[in-house]
Amino acid sequence: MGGLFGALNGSLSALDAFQNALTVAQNNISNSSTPGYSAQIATFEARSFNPNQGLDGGVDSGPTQSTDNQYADQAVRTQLSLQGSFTAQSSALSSIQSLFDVTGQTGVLGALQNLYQSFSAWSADPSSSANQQNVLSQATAVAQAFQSTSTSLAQSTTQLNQQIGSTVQQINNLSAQIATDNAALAQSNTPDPSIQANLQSSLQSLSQLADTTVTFASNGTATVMLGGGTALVLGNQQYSISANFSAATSGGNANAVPNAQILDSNGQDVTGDISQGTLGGLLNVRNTVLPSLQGNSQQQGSLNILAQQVADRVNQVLTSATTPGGQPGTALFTYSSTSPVDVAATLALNPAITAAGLAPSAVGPPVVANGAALELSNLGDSTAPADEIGGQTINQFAAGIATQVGQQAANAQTGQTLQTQLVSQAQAVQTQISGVSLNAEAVQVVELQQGYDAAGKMVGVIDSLASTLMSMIK
Amino acid sequence: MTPRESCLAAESGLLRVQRLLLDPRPETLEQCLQILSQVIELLENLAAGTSTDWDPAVHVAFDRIRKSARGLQLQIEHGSNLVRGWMQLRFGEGYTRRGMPEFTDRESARVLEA
Repeated sequence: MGGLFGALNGSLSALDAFQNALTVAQNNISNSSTPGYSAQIATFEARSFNPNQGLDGGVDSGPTQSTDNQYADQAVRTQLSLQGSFTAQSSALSSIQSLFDVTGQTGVLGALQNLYQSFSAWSADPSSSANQQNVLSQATAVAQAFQSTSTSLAQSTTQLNQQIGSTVQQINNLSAQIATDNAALAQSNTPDPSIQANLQSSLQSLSQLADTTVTFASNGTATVMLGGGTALVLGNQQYSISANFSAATSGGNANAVPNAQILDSNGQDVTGDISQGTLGGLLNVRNTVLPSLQGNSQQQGSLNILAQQVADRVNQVLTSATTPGGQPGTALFTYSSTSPVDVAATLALNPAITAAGLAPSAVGPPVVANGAALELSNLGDSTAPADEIGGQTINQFAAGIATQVGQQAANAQTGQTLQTQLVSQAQAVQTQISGVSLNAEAVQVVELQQGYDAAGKMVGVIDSLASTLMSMIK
Repeated sequence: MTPRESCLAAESGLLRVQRLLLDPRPETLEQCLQILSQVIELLENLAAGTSTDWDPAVHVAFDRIRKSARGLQLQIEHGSNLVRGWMQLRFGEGYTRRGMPEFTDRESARVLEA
């Protein structure tokens, strides 16, 4: 294919190749703000050059390459997953943290301090009806504080159930979208950048909701596993998960709130597979933090332990004491004995007690007129084995609950802040590798233009020199 | 190096440039400029020498070099046009009354115009 036709053919081929590059560049510009879009690079292929065999060389357009980088994408998804977990935990724990005032001014801690003070005042003047009445009032406040905290924890459980259900729905919706994109990618002969962009965007959104493992087939379709073990998307098939909040409990605590379960499409419990993402964070608070406070089938919960210890010790001291009239004392508190996890929710002032029924005198020996009242005023800091909970005084145990919740909330907040930075960093790397950077392209365009100008001038010199050399022979 | 060897080296250089331009990046263009400068040096050395002992085959070789250079010029023009089109797409805001591309007043656009 020599001569003019060959030359024209070579020129047209090169023109097509550059036109393709121009289209790709235009596509990159149009999609520079599309979430998940990876810049496409136009490639060129040399045509064979051998004039003796009619091969005139030139340029052909090669396949378009996506700069999409799976490593960078996975890094972003991993950081997003951790960020989702910390964000969910931070949000859930902040509302729980507010129930436990570590300063001891309000809530259960504040009510207990007020009760100790009322015992102290009562011990100074055991016959004072005002002091007696104050003890009853502060005991009522303690019971209400425990009930209120228990109710708030139950409400937190309900809210978390709703959030978990909503997150599961979002995961299923995204999985369905990914399955649809997979089907479209499997049908097309060449990867469609817009579908790939949709797919990447869905995968990133999904990673924020749960820890996922993504693998890509050669045709660009994604296989998505939840936590590495539960299939969410295989090819064009989506496998829905569901949330279950009424699982049968195997432990001994009646009335306990069952842990939240995530079930796969076969109804199998896959909760253990999920540790990250919004769902992982919500499940951690729902199945670990809340049960440690309010109890579940396996444990009583620190709030119930505290309520029971306070009620039992106060009742034991008072019922062992006598009134000024020599009558045996009456218990100050009552609670349901149906289940250990119901203590805080059912703690109440004993309806049978009256101000006059309060017994301040320790029977001894020796008999001390205000001995029981004094013992109760020091109950919070008592290191007597009968008063302690697991080696801690009642006050230490109560403060420990607030501190623990506060630390968990602070850790989640710190983690959220850190993860936000790490997500930004990972996204910057991803953008550098596969994004469409306007500034970088502008610099590249200028350099290319300068290079072409210089090359054009030099080739002009070569043309001129070749002509001169030919004329020298003549 | 004989005139014939110089011609072959020059032709080979132009072919390499033609292939390098298939991957239009600033780095590859830098390579192209180095090769083209070597080709120019080869031809200048030939032009500085005597032509009395050149055989006819060298004349044919010079012709091929000239054709290659012109083909390369076309290829470079295409590349340059691509970049101009790219600039137009990215930074252009239409055309002046004289039909010249009009660019935005952004910093990057001013750099490009300069």
